[in-house]
Amino acid sequence: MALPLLESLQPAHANVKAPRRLMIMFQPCGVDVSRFWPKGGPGALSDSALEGTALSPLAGMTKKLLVLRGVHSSPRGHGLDIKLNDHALGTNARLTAAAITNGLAEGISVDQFIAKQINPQSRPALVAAVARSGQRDSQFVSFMGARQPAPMHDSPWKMYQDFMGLSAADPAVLERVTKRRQSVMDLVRGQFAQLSTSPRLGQKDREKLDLHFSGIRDVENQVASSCKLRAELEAEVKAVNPTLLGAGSTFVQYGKLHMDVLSLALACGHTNVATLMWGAGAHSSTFGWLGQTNDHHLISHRVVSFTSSTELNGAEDMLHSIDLWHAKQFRYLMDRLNSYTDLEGTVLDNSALVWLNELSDGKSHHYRDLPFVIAGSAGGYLQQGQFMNLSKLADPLSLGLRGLTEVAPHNKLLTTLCNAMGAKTPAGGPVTNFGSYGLAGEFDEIKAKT
Amino acid sequence: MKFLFSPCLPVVCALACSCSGSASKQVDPPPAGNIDDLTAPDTSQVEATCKPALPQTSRLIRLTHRQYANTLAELMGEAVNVGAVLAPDPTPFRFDNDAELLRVSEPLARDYRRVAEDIGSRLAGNAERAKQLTECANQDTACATRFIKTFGAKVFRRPLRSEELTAFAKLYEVGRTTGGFPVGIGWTVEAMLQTPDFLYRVSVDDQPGPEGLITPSAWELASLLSFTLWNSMPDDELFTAAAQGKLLGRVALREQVRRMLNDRRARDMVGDFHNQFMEGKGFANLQRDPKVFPTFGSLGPAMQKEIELFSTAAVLDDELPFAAFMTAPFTYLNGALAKLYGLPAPTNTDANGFSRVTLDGGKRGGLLTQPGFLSSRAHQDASAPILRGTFVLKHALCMDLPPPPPDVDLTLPTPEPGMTTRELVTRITSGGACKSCHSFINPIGFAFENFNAVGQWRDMDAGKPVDASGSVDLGEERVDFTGPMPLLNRLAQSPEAATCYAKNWLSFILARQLGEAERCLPESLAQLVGDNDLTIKDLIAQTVATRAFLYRAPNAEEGKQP
Repeated sequence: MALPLLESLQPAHANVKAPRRLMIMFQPCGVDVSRFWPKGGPGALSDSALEGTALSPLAGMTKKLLVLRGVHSSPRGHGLDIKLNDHALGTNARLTAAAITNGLAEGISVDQFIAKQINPQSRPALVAAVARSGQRDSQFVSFMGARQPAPMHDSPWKMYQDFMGLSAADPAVLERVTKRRQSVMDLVRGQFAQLSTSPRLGQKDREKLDLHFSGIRDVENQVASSCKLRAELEAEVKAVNPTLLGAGSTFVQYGKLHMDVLSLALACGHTNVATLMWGAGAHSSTFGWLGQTNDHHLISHRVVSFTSSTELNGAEDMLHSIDLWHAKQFRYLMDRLNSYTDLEGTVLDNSALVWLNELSDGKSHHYRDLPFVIAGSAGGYLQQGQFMNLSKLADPLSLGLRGLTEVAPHNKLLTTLCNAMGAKTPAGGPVTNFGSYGLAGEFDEIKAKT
Repeated sequence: MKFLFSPCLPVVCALACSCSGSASKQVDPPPAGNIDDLTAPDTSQVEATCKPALPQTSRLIRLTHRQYANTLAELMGEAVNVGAVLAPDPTPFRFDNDAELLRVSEPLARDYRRVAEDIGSRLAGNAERAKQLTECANQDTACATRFIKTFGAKVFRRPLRSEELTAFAKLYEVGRTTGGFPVGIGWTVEAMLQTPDFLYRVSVDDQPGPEGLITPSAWELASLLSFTLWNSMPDDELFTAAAQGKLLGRVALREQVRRMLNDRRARDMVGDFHNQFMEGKGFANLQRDPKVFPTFGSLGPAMQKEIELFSTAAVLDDELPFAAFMTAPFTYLNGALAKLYGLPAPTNTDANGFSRVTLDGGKRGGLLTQPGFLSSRAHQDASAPILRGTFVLKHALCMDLPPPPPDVDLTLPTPEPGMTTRELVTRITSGGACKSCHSFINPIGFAFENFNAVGQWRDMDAGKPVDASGSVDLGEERVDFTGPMPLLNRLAQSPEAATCYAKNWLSFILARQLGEAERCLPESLAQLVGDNDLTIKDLIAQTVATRAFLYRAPNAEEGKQP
């Protein structure tokens, strides 16, 4: 499927070996497990195996896909590891595999961990949220560190402006602006320097000041970026109403614009790591454009409301529709990243684009058999064209909810992604055990055979 | 079942050390004032029995977005809609002014830059505007220098040091040679608005205080007061009092606090506190079944406004004590809300379309009978007694409720047609593991069953008369009630509710969570208020007079050179 040319782009890595990229696409509330996985069990992927499943929109791209099941959350849900509601656990732990207190993860998330090492100037991973409706303690997947949620972009326009820097305007204008910025920021930096000499500041305050200071560090050095959206698309992004936050019908529009801007950022090399949230955990938006009138969370529980507990007729089909819709968005991202070329392969080939969820079966708040769909081989690190069951049990959900030893904890996937991206431990070696729950080691089965 | 009171997070108590590190360059000190013990005599009395060690607190407290907007409006004489511009802060705790969470990430730093550049460029491109802000009819360097000194002192909330004056004068000059007086002024303001001295409340100018504690400088105290009581920068009177050394005295301080609480800017703070207390920010996202409640969608902002106007009037105009506040039979309504209440459209409305309305005290009174609370604790088509009950227990009584046990069966039982919400909830929570908590959560929630999913009064549910009766243990006493007002009247009289309310104010005013060691503070404060029949306005004034607010303990790490 050919995409219209959406921007004027000098790809960042057209002449040199490209770095690897990681992009996370978070879907809340679990999936309709009965129709999610490819048919016919684990093995080579084919278009026919995707027919009638939530993954059918990915047909034609199976050669660049890796579908995983049988993985369970670490920490495990249902109070096995932490006493916490499972939406909060699933959301906060999904990229951190960390403990959670007061609705915040106690550790850095894998996107931020990797970004620190592979991003230009170690800038943080670019995180965007299409909507924030959901539970208060399930708002964040991305964390800069313990209890430090990463800032999220609600506005695709602001996100775009941030990495666009100065547009390639009249050189005289450019010079004036640069001169102004340099003079202004020299003074501002001087104030930071003076304040930081105060012996009154303790460690935490110094860190606070350093964080702020590093945020203004490069401001005046942002040169004209040749990485621009096409005029019409730029106008569309600019027209986004900043106060609507992807509510109601803007969900679709903002989501698409977020995907456009994030893909551009990855292709331009502004960032090598990006994360997109389609709503918070226990997501309460209504998918009106699919003809639905109940909210996502209710549908996932198959009820009309939480007190009437009247069964929602057709809930399974509604949920399947939602899954299909997310698959289409995932496909859109795949196509965008696949349309940019690096020196070797496409951006998608050099990336791991990971679609994941806070839960597997939303109705029972199941934390086992989580959906993971990965597109791209991360520059040949990961296998492609396969559907794998990492638990070694034909029906992982049959294990039930309680009391079983670890088999395939998801932290191993996070460890694998770290190494796929070339991130290292402080000692300089490969990452062996990401997070504070789960098991050591990678999922060796999913790595390409050398 | 007794109510338990367990406070929130444990905290490391500050080590009592004498601070001997040499100070960095000091600002010119104000003329020596009367640095006596600033705490009020009666508060000192309270703190005689409750004197927890003060925890370590930050010396750099970033302005909240609301404070930033208010401050810019004061400085520049124009409003900035920060909702659209500044990256939102995460707020997992109760209040958004918690100092620990207020950081500047890279996106927020860019946003601050955007705002500063925007303001700067509008000055640079408009000579009239520049003249107006600077009051420099002549647009000459001498006047610009004067502007840097006076405006800079307002932006930094303290006099500028000589090297700072020099640096800004240099920047002005470069700007002026580039494009004249307006450009020089534009660059100057653009820089000022991005300094940490503006964006944070900086407290590094320590003054000696009682018992080895540290008092802020007069300038820092002015900011502490204004951002706490007004959510904004100090005014000229506060700045003058600081400059003249007239702030660091017990009597002068109390006078200022009284003045500030009577100022219109205190209304912003009181409204903000109660809006956050009731989690009003989430109202705009509430959804109702459109077939049953077609007009609900747009009511979110109005319900927030109702909370703000009601609480401001009750606390600052009527000067109610806590018990009366909790059950006050009036509110503020616009046309749409009046319809919800089943009342005639209000007359003599203000600029927002709201006006004060008296309510039937037998049915409604106070925040917990307003549609904001009732609908945010409800489902798309039904009331939610469990959510209402847990809110009252957790936030009105400060009870530490554990989450449901992990092995609870999550599948909901099939209801029979014609079951009321009360009957359904009773059935769902009747299991053995559920009883220990739900035996007191449910009765409180059921007391509100006369209110449907959008907060309208109803006498019937599923064709049967609403049963809003119940009983619950409060302290040593068993309380029976039927309907919301008997329960609320009883709660309003309880020391537990008064202490919890005081605790929330303490947390808001101290801009942090209270530590384990500080458990006695809310109790002592509530006791003082109760014993002396004080109003909520008095409670605020008392809180602002405590040593926990005014002083800090020296930090263990201070004195180390970076």
